[in-house]
Amino acid sequence: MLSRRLTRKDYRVITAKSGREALTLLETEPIDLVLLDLMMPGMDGIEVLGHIRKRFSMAHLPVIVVTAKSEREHLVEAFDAGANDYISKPIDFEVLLARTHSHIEHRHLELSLRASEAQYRDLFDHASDLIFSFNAAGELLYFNPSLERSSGFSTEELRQTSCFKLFSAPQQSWETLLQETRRSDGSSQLELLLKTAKGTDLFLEGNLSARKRQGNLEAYRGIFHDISARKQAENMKNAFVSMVSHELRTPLTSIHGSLSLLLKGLAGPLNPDMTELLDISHRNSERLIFLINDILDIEKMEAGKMDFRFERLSLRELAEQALINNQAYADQYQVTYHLVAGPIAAWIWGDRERLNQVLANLLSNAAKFSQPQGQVELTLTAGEKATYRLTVTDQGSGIPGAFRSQIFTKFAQADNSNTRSKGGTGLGLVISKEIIEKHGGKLDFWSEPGHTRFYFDLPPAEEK
Amino acid sequence: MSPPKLERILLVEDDPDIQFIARMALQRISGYQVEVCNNGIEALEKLPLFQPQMVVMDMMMPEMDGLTTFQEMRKMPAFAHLPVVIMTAKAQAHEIENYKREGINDVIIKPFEPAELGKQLEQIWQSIAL
Repeated sequence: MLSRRLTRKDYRVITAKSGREALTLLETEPIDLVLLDLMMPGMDGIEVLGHIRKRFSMAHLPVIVVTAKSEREHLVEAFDAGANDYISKPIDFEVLLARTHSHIEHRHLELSLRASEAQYRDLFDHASDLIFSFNAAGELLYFNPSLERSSGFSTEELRQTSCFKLFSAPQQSWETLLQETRRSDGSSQLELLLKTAKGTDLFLEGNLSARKRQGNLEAYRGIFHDISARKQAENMKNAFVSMVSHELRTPLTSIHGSLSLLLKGLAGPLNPDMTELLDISHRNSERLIFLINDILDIEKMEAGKMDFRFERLSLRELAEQALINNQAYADQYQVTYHLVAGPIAAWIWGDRERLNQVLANLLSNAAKFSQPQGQVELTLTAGEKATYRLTVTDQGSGIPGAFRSQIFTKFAQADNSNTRSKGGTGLGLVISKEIIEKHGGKLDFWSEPGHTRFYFDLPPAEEK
Repeated sequence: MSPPKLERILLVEDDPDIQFIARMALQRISGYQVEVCNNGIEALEKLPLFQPQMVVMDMMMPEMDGLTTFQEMRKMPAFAHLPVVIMTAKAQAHEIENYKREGINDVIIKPFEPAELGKQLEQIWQSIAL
């Protein structure tokens, strides 16, 4: 009768006449819930329950036992054996239905939770990244197998190791690192060193974040990946570039110096052809020097090692000097420079050499891309947001539209044939932009045919 | 009294090509009296004999590098204040600062312009005399 009423409520009901039959059915049928009468012939309900629990957990297969009122002791026994719930005889059908429904719901929820947990666990276990969490005392709370593999320590060893000894930050103490972590949103990339069981260091890159509950710190979490191979390659590249550049400078010193002395006539008088040929060699050895300097600068820039000596400078004086320094270059292109500036000193905080380098780059570009007899203007004005602005304006053919977006890209040149006809490395603007940004300023440009402006804004030096 | 004129320069440089160029530039363009040494050890021996007014020295040299030679020179009472200019192909701002902190008077970056070398040294000489 029960079976029929349940069927009417859309449950599929399979009836077993004995415990043994029930166990057989469980093997073959997909069963979501068992209604188990404790009093049965042959095997009793408790025994059946025991067998069920050996195979299925409470979450996987809920069992509701059906008891008579007198069976209180049995009831306790049934819960001990793994019953999820009970219902007394005579059965109140509505209550049975409610309980059945609730247990089946609960089972679905539990199973989907477990599936989801298994999914996450699977990702966590198989991630090549090192994932771990630790408390304020530095004890590791959770970590994935990747940490064991990379460090060479066993799970047990890691549990007993302080996180503060296992990892170290190359640039700061753990104390400041954790302080920053608690303040930050955890998105900033940082580098850590991992001391392995073998005693070697692995370079890691990733992020740390703080897990808080109601403003209180619960744990720190870290997700890092091994960048040792990349580090090694970077170091090799840096050493290589620096070595090559340095080794190139020594022979260049001799070549450039010899040509220069020959041109001065120190080895005797020269006829016009000799002068022309020596001049070509001399100019090109100079180009090589510029190229090497630029490559070294880019290298320093990328390694974050470009250093600056800041002092109080007058931007106006710097501009005046730049025009004098670069006039010889402009003469080659029959271009004249003009300074347009009001009677202001425009004090800024800057590195004289580096700013000279920027001005030389902008002025030489302007001369290079001007028509003969062209005019190049260097203008000192107020820039955006209370800054000083220097603008270099030329009347050349302008920067081709398609090239504008690449102008601050390494080795970019509008027209590859320009590299040969105009000289230059395609590195100057990249370096200039970096220099200006390291001064807290910005460098940009504006171009149309017959009118191109490159300008940079620098913040004024604070009055002392 | 105006300071004495710069006349005698000791050039310390291990590269024979650069030796030749620098010597030619300093002698023939600027008219200095120039003695050349191949390394720091030679330079230390040469100092009392030649009595230069200024030492122009390469940084990277075998046997004894420029900085060590400089430090050894400073230990010799007679040359404790002799102006020393370093020539180097490795010239990062912080390296130059280090040299100057050590007491080196100035730094010339390689490749240098030989036609300008004498003028540069003269300027350094003047600024030290001040």
